[in-house]
Amino acid sequence: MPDVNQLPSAVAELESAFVAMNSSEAEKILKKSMDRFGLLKMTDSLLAPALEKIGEAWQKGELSLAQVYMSGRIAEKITLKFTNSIKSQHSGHYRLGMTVFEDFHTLGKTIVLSILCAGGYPVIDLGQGRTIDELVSETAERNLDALFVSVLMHRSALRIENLVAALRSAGLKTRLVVGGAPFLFDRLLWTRVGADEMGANASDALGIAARLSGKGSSQ
Amino acid sequence: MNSTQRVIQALGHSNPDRHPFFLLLTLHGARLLGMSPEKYFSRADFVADGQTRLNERFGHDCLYAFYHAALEGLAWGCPVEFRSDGPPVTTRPAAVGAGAIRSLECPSVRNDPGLSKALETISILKGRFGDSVPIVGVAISPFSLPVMQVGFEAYLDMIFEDRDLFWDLMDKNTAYTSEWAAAQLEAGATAICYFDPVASPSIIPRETYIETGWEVARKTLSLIPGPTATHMASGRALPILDDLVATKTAAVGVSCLEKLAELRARANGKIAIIGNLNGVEMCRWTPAEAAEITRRTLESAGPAGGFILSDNHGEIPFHVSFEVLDAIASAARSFIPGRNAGPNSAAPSDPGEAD
Repeated sequence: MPDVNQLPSAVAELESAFVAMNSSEAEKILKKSMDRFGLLKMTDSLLAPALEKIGEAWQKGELSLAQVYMSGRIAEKITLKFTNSIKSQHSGHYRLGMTVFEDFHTLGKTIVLSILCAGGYPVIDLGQGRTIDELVSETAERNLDALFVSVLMHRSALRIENLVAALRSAGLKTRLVVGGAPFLFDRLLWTRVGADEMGANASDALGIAARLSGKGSSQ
Repeated sequence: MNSTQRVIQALGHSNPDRHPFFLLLTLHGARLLGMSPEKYFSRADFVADGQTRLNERFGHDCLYAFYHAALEGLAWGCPVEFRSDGPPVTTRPAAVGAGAIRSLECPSVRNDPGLSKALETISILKGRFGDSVPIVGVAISPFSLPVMQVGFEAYLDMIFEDRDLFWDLMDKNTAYTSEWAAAQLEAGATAICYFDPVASPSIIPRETYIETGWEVARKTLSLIPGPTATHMASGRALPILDDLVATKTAAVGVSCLEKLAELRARANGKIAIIGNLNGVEMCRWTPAEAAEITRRTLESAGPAGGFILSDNHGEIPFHVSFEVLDAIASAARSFIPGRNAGPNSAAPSDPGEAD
């Protein structure tokens, strides 16, 4: 029986490979784990923890956003290579959407999408610059259980309060998860605009997706 | 001592009468004049009038000739969308793909409608204020401009995977930025704020910055015929502070994520520090909170000289109230270093720190 207790040391090795943007080394570590423990275990016990550590390190100022971005990109490419498509490794058909709200700064969305996809959570990309009416419509049509919203502009962050109101007026119970610079610089802002969750770094999306979909913590 | 004298003393690490303070306001000028942002930015004299009235109201130590970041994006060919309650934004990159990026052409600084309007604003302000209040012009660094020109993701891919294309773009951007900065100085700007958020270790690893943005900064800043301050636009600066000193920039705009006292100690008379009030949190401060936070920030900055109080991003959000700004201005004007010690004067608390 393969020893899953070996995975924690592999997390550190994988984290180093991502931070160094060493795609081939990262793939070697992930493939070894997948061959021994299977895709789901590899994702939950190796890939997700490594990405979460990278997100935490960025938040503490130890890593750069470029390293978070490249880690997510490398992780997504490798996962797609292993699986040909991102099938949900987490059953329950929890439907996730992701967007940039009334804003056109897409880097945050790109990083979160990569990380969620690599972590086995298929996400519907609703694009950027989306308005309240468009998002209410899309959320209803696609029957989204959770909507991840990224913003960079402070004005867009404040307008999320209007988005929440519009979703609730439409009778939608979709959980709203927010992230982006305004929420980092004012830690109370996400509660004031009525969001349900806030990601302080892109990798928080994995734990939030796990929690909302009823899979508990991914750690 | 007028504002210019105070700022010169501070940047020279001498002994001004108090810490200068900059309220880096843009859209508040539109609000004072009762105009929409789109109307406000449509005429050079509107922006000049806005800055004049802001200075009359708050008595801060600069006039800010910055319109918005999208002004330069627009000059390069990015479409722009105006909002009624915030700054305009670019909605798409100007160039997608290596071929289009290589074909990008530098805008003509003198002939571009937006850039030439900003030059006219500077001239108007110079005519009104002479040398009494410094006029700060802004130029986005060649290293940070591509975020608008090609998109952030594509730019990061370029930095790490196509250095030839990167340097091709940097050559064009360096020629443009140095010309844009020089034109503002010629029009009457006192100094140029060199906006370089991508340089921050929050965005790019230091080792990558040294190979790329640092070389760009050294070259570009050497071509700008006047004083400059480099701004990290909320990004961290401490890990690259010595590198910024080596670019010969006179000052650096720093983040509220870092401790002012630590930045000042590391700067040690080699570079002036500008910052670091949290502009996002400022939106929910009461005037009393604003005054107290301002006082604590000034306390943690230490003796006068080498420091200018400001927000940490280089632009105060539209939603900050005039009452809060009045409180910040009042606290800043009345604070004399060494005479306004709070309860913990031996170890002032540094409000510029993340949780």
